[in-house]
Amino acid sequence: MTGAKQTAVITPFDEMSGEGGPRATHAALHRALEFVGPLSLAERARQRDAYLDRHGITFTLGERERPLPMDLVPRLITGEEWTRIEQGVVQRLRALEHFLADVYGSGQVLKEQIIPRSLVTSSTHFHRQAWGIEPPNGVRIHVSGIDLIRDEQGEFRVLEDNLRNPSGVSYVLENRRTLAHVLPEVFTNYQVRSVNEYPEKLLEALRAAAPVDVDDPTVVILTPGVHNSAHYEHAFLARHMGVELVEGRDLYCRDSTVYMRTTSGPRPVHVIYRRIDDDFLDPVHLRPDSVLGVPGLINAARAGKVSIANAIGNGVADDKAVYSYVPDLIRYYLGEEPVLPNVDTYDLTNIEQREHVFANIERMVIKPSDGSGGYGLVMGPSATEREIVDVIAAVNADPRGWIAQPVVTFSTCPTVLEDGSIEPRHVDLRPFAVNDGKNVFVLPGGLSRVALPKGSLVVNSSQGGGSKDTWVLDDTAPRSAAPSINVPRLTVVDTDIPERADAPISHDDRIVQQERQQQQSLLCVNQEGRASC
Amino acid sequence: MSRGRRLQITHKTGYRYADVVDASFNEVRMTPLDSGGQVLLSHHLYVTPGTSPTVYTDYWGAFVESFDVHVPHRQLEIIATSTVDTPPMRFYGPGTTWEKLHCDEVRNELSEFLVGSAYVDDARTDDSRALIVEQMLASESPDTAVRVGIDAVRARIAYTPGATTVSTTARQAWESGNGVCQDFSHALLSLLRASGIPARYVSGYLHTEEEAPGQTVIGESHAWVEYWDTDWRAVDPTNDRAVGSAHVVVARGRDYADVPPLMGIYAGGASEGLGVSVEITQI
Repeated sequence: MTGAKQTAVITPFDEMSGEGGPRATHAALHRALEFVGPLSLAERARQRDAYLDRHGITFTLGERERPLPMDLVPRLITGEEWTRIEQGVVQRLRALEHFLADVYGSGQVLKEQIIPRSLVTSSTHFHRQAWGIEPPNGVRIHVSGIDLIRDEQGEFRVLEDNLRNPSGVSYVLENRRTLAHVLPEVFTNYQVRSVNEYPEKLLEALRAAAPVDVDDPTVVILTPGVHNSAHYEHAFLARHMGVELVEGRDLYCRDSTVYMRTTSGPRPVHVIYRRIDDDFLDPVHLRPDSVLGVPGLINAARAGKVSIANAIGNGVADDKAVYSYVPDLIRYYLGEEPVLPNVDTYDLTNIEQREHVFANIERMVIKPSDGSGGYGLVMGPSATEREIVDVIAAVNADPRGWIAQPVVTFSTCPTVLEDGSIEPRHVDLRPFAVNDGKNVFVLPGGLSRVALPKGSLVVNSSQGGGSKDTWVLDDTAPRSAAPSINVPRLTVVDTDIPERADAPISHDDRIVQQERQQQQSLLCVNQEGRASC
Repeated sequence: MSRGRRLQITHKTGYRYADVVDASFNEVRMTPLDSGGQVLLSHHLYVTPGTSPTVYTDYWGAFVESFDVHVPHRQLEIIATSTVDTPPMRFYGPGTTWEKLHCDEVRNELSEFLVGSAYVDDARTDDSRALIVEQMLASESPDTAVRVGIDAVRARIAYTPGATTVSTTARQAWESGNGVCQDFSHALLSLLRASGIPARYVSGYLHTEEEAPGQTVIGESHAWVEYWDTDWRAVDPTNDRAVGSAHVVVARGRDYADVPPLMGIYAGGASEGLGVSVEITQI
């Protein structure tokens, strides 16, 4: 191995063990895993796969549907650490809500030049169609998943904001249930905070987002359909909240009101928790060829007759070039110092910074600024020469379209390998937060994603990462001697399946045509002999 | 020439459909602006089949009327009538220098009007426009560069109704050498932006050059350009005449995509345009 590139000289933060063996909080977990032993762990892993398969807990990757690999070793977060995360996430979301209200309204932050106007107007996800739409309770980021990592010193930092359609919360709940089923021993001696209240909190927040004059709002989840990679989650949330899971063709707009077709006739819809991307929401204003959305939806929202969660155009706030300014936005809107620091980020439109990044590319990660899910990301240390050449060309062609960060060595957690042995693997953390307009609720737990290949720093499930059950320890609860297995109980509510009647606007069998009037007048026969138009 | 005019505008648009249409969603930008010296006195929109439009102001400041039609129909008719007082022609003072125009502040604040947009590409990406941009940048000041740009567009593009469509881009119009007001404007926008002169598209109506009190004349939907030179200054590359009391401003944006007079979708078969007519009466 002497010829190998010497790059990763920094030691990652090991969450389970410090200098002198397991950390105090991890001691009981360490003992439990030793007690179970490698042979038995391999067997439990097979039980886990069977359990996930039986319950249909899958994630579609490429063409293949497969269980989301859940590692058997839970990830532990102390109450003290959690308090800081919670404060940091809430603070960040409050600032980002202000920012979205500002850029889709008066634009004060641009006038005061806290952030360059050109940066906002050049964001792919700055949707001018959403300008002037005021959500009834002021909330645009109903659900968020802000990705955190722990750096080499063990400090939590924000890696990226996800304010559009963050997915993965169903795995947070399922992982807890699965782990309690296949490896109950590890729960011994730990008081773990429950994650089960998420569907209830989400439903409360969605109901709170309803138009002002609606007492008992009808909430639906809008899914792109069964082929979407997160369809499992859409169905999961609909089931646990007791709301309808609909597709675009189940809804229609009429005079700014949205209706759902049901077996008992049309029913007004007040809040749409949509899990489809902005571009597909309304063919009148966005992609005219979209068959997933609802024509007229944007103007219904503008008229205040329906609320869309998350709001259209949130992507301008989770743009990776805007990310660098979030600490400034926190200071500007809240007059506070950021609780959770950012990761250093280079602005590639700046020539000096770009040169620096290119000169040190083996220590950089290059990301598309409008991306999510790890797509298009290039890791300098592991990229091939070809990939490096290509990404440099792409950056030079569109510097605004990319950002660069020094590779941060995420912390590691012990992870079970195929043979039942345990080795450290890199993890990140996505805490899910729900904003009901009065409070931001951060689900105590969140999704820890783990990069399964040795040394890999890419944790995205869409890139083949796995996950871990994430425990927030309740330091305040009395320790009981007896094992306290916190087995989740999930409520399942039966719902009516919406009818798919032959729709007035059925996208399947009739052509949706777009008409646009030509500026040049067709009847413009010029009687006076004057040049026309 | 220096007085404003009071103009009454009737803008009719119609469509006939091959099949019965029972759902149609539309947005209309046909209301003259009530700002910049132009005063909107009245505006009405009549749609057949009957419907009740809702009104909002968009990001660019235009008045938008939005409506959907759910009555089964084979024909859609839209009539917009407006009465507006236009301001007298403005005389612009001396323009600014290249140094003041090519500064970071202008580049940041007006970046939307400096970069490419749906219809307007970077003029430096083809040789013939790149050459003109070079000449423009060699001009002594931005306002003389604008003159060079207008002359180049008029030398290149022949006014040819029917040669282009509503979706023709600046590049396509330049290559074909034919077009109408929309194409002249897009082509000029591409040259101005490539020269670092912020420029935007204006959609509106055009009355006759001479005053015509009491007469109803056939007018047009029209498009022209405004460029930024310490303030916004209007030029009409299609007619190469001063922008003044004959021009009625309806909407401004980066290009046609931001300001279409009518956009919409419907479910059903093919449609046939019944034509557009604009009648303007000076009162």
